[in-house]
Amino acid sequence: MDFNFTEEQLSIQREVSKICEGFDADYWFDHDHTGEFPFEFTRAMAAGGWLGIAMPEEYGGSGLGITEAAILMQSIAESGAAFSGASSIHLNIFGLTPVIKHGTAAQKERMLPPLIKGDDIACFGVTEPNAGLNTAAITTRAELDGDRYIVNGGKVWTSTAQVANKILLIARTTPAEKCKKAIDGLSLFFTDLDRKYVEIREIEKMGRKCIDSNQVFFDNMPIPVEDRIGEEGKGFRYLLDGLNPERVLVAAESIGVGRAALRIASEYAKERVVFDRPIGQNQGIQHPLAESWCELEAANLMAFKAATVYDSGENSGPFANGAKYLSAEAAFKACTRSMNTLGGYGYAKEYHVERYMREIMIPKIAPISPQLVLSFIAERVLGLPKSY
Amino acid sequence: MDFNLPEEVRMVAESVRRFSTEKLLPKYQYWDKTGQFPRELWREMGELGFYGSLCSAEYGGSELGALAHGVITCEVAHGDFNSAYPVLLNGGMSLILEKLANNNIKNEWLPKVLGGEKFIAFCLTEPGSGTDAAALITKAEEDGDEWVITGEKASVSLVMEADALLVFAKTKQEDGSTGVSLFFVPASSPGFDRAPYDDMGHKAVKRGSASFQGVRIPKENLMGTQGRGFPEAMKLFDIVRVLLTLMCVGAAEQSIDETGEYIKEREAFGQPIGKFQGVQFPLVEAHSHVELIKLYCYRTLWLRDQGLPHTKEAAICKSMGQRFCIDAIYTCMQLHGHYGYTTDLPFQQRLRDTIGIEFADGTSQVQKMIIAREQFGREILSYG
Repeated sequence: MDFNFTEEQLSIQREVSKICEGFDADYWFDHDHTGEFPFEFTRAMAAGGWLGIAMPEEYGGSGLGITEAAILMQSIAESGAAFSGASSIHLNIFGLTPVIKHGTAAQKERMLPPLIKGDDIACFGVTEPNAGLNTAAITTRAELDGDRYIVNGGKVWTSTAQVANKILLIARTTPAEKCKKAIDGLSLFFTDLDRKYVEIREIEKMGRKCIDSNQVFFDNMPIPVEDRIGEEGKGFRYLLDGLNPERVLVAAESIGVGRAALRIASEYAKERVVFDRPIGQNQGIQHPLAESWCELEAANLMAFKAATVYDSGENSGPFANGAKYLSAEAAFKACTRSMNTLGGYGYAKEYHVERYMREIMIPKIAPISPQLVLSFIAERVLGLPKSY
Repeated sequence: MDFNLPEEVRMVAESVRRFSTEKLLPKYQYWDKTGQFPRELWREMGELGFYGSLCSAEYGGSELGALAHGVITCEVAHGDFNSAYPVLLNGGMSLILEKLANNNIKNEWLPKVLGGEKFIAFCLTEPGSGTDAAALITKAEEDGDEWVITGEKASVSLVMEADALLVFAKTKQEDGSTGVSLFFVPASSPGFDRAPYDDMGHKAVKRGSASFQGVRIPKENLMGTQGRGFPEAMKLFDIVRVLLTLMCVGAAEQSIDETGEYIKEREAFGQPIGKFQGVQFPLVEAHSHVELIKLYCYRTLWLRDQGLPHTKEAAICKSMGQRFCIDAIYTCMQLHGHYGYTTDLPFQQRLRDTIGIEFADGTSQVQKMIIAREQFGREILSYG
């Protein structure tokens, strides 16, 4: 057992943190205010070659694992960029896993390099208004018409669709009633997000304003057959390949946000003097922060355990889900406690913790709710009967 | 023991709830998105008597008492959390003005405060002093028939709209010692300036800083006894902690009601999600916590109406009540899934708004210090 990062992994932390220093708290504060996508940041990450960290080397990636990708994403979040920073490149890091695993050599050659260079920005069209956690209930249709599919329907919670030119889209190619199982009959595409056939409506939301979330409506959008990934009807199974790595990354990102919040709170508690001594000298202030440190580091161990299991090719589901759950809870508590440590200033935007607080709500509910994580653990790990 | 609300309070509660549902709830998110100050609406609430329960009939109050005032605060917060703020503020100001102001100020300002025409902000906190209020450095010096006030105040609620301010400042006493005194300062006074904060919530009720650069006010604008301003004002103010908590209770109850409807309608895996215990139990816990804290708030206000001590009880309300409510609202938001995170639904706003109460009038840490002092004695005070 070795709990230490390798020298290469430590150097990822150092180099990424260095780039992030160029994007300080004011940068993210301004973007949270204006809602502008952080292009300067994503360009800097692309220029550093980080977008391809988990992509194969023959297509310009670094060929590293989810462990390294988690280190990258955690360093970004921990720098103070929080989810505004992490979500700006999150999909590039893991989203194309189905293409890597099931795409043809020609597809990989065509699809991966532009994403790694940052020339393409991809979004993810999976969730629908009536198919959130039960993905198999998807109703967006893709009908074969000669050498192309025609897509109609709508997606919701599609992040970065305002700035994306590509979409990884799942749609029904065989009606559910003609399939043996509900998860069959769905196909996966990686294709142009052609605005001639697509309407994108931004959803106003509580936090992470600079990374847009959207409703996306398709009106007879054509997709060339060569943009279909793998076999027709197996798209949902391919998508599952990407779910565990995403949960590991979200866990690592959440912990980064929690650490950033604790850093601000600790600095403040050392400096703020009340009744002639720093408030950080009070156990009523220090113990909750210390407790949060313990919770974050424990969750972090599970996150990197999950990453290790995934990278070794074994089933990472229990740990990936457990880590997502624990990390979001721990980070949420850390943000709450940090905000409380700052008193009334914590509520003012210029101290930044309130932005972390609004953003840390996201990993609590996405990409899967805590209830469904618990149901998954109950069934798959503890062997309890399915409750739904 | 009688746990029923008095008949007159129950009737007030019903009519306020009606107003709250019809007039406030539909606009709650509008005020947040525009950041506008709902002056007309707040005047209407004043005209309806929402602010007057704590004030004597002589100045236009209803004398319904603290319990009624708390019930009104809670019912208003059901519709619009932020519109409960003038109930608290103008009600609290009526207490201070009636007890401590001279007759001129009382006659001129009290009816307008109760009628929702005028708003008075409370300036205690400074950039370098909050919890340790005695460490404030704003000063008031005598000059002929006037006081001259100089200093900076921080975290002043409603600062941008206030027509006058109650300002705590250091004064030199006759025996040479320094005391804290309370002053009434019209916002039109030369030398007064203000700037808003950009806060997470409370968009319609801006908090901000207030600056007093040689602001001159008449001698008689000293409120109460010179050098005793802090204890004289604060002993009237235990009630504020209960009202702040009841604002959160109103917002939480409304959220729980709405979520109860939602989980009956929203289906997943072929049945309403409310049938899943993983969904219904968290909502049940939220409801239970909010019920408990509401009862305790009512009891604290009842103590006040009986003329009994309630400093510790008020601190208990504020030390955990707002946290129960924030957690309850968060549960409601989370049970709405990702939709709860949109600004189309009110939960994220209720969350942002109620979180602000964590810091108002003493954080939960400060409340615990008060509870420790009142329950276990001064010898275990962690300070001094």
